Amino acid sequence: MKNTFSQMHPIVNFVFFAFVISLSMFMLNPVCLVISLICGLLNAVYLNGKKAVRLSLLYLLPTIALISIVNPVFNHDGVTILTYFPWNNPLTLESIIYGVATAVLLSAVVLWFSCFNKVMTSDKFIYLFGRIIPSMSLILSMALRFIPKFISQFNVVRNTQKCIGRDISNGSPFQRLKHAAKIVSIMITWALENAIETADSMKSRGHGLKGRTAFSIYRFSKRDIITLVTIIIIGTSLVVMSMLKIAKFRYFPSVKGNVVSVTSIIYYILYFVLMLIPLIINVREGAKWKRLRLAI
Amino acid sequence: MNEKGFSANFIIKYIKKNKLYFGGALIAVVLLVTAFFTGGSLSATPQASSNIPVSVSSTKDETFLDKISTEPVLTSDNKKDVDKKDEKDNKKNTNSNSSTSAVQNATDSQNNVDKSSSGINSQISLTDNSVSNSQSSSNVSPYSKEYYYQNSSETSDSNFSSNAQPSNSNSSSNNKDKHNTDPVPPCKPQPVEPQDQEIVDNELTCTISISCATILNNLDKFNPEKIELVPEDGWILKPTKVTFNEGESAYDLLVRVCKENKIHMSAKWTPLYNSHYIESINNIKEFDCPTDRFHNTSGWMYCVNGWYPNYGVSRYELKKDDIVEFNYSCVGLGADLGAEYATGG
Repeated sequence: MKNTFSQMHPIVNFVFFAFVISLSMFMLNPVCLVISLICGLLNAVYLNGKKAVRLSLLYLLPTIALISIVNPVFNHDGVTILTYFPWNNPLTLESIIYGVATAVLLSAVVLWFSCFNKVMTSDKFIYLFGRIIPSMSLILSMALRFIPKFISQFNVVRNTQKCIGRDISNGSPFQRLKHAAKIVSIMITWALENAIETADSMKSRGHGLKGRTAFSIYRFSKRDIITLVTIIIIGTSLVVMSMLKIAKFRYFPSVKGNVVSVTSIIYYILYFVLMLIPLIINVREGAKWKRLRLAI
Repeated sequence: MNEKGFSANFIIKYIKKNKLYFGGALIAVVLLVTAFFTGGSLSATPQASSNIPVSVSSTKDETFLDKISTEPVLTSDNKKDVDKKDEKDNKKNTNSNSSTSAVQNATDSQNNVDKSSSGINSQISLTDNSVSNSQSSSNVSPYSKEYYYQNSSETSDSNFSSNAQPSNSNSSSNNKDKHNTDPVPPCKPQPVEPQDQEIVDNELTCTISISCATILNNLDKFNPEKIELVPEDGWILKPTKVTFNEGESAYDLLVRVCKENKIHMSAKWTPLYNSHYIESINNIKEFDCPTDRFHNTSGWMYCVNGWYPNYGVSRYELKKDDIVEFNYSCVGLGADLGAEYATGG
């Protein structure tokens, strides 16, 4: 399991995710949706392993089911009337199809974001945007860091309170409420104090002074150039093609679109290739490594 | 078991300890609930809508005005009695609180009575509910305020509160009923709340039609995805005679006709206006024809016997031989359909 794509220059990673996530957010063509979902799932499984499978089975499948049930209840557009609700509004085939499509889109985007979080770590983010929007990127990375930190501190405080019999699970309901309030108050105090401490410590180390540089060991090699150029060429051509409405698909008032035509098939192939780039790189690197080891 | 008993004891102790807080919270909750149930079902102006004949906060002057305003219902024979009563009340008023403002109020209201009783003649002639009569009786202009007073007192079973409503208010905005509807013009059917409509098994006929002809003039601005849905002559449903049961509303008729003719129709219940709002017919939706970039006012409107009612479809109770039209409006909330009063302005 090589993860070469994550070791590439941050700009390559960022451009890739920017193209992929924005394209899968705006393309409602069913073929594109399926491609995006499958590639997102493959990538997430490659990066996160069991966790990705659990995410998709435990949360995404129920979400898909829920959205496809809820959408036709509130959306009555569409030409094909199946039956009528008791409140006299029609249940249409188009609204069901649209519900499923949006649910697939949502889960694909969630999967791609799980990959994004794994690949784009906060130091990469700061490296990219530290110069352009310094305070913004700092706040973002601090906020993202805050959540796991808060959870671990919460567990520490809770265990401490448990030792003296003041946990949320001790006593009558009112006492439990009291204990919970106490723990929350401790946590809030800690968070505020921690924020002040962090700010003080950063100030004492000269944060925000002129002429400071950030340490990074990212090199922009030939491999990165080739990958970046391919991503940009495929991505921009896809964007231009979707602006020319080549893979256009509509759901209302009737489901219609040119799903199968020469240009749209070219579009799907490009779409598929773009989304598979990280997997291709990783698998190729793994095979190379194996071959080299065999040569020894 | 033991633990349960303990927790119950604990709760009781806790409540006893903080009696004041719990009492306050209880009172607040009760107040909120009452406010919700009384305020929620009535309109925003509490005085105009209170079902109590004399509102609690009203002073003597107000009750006095209320009394007088109910009296346009009386015939002209009783007019003298009315005047006597007025004088009595006037004396009482001046005796009890000898402020000049009270006297002024009394004289004002007396004038009001005189005016309205002079309009009684026209009122009687109008009970035929025919258009020609209303035009001939131009004694009192049909849109004047006095007219509305009479109209409302006549139709609403001389309900005390509805009579008190116009007399207390001077501005036209307070003339609205509890569902925010402006007074219905004379000789036009009054709204019947969907909750009060009783369907009688008595079949009558009427004519219904659904048209989107106005879109044909604005095809370039219409939603390009839906152009195929617009019929060439604009008729989604040509005028057809249908039967309905007495007491059905125009909305009930539309639902039934659309189901029978397999026309797509979706509507939304709007509690504020106590009626359904028709979102789309034949998949032509509201806001599908934006003729103005900043004021997109396209949507469905209904029209009965050439008049666009200023209240919702569910509140219109159908009558025999009504001609009901559902038309799509592209410009100015019915301006292109020739509806001038529908917006209630």
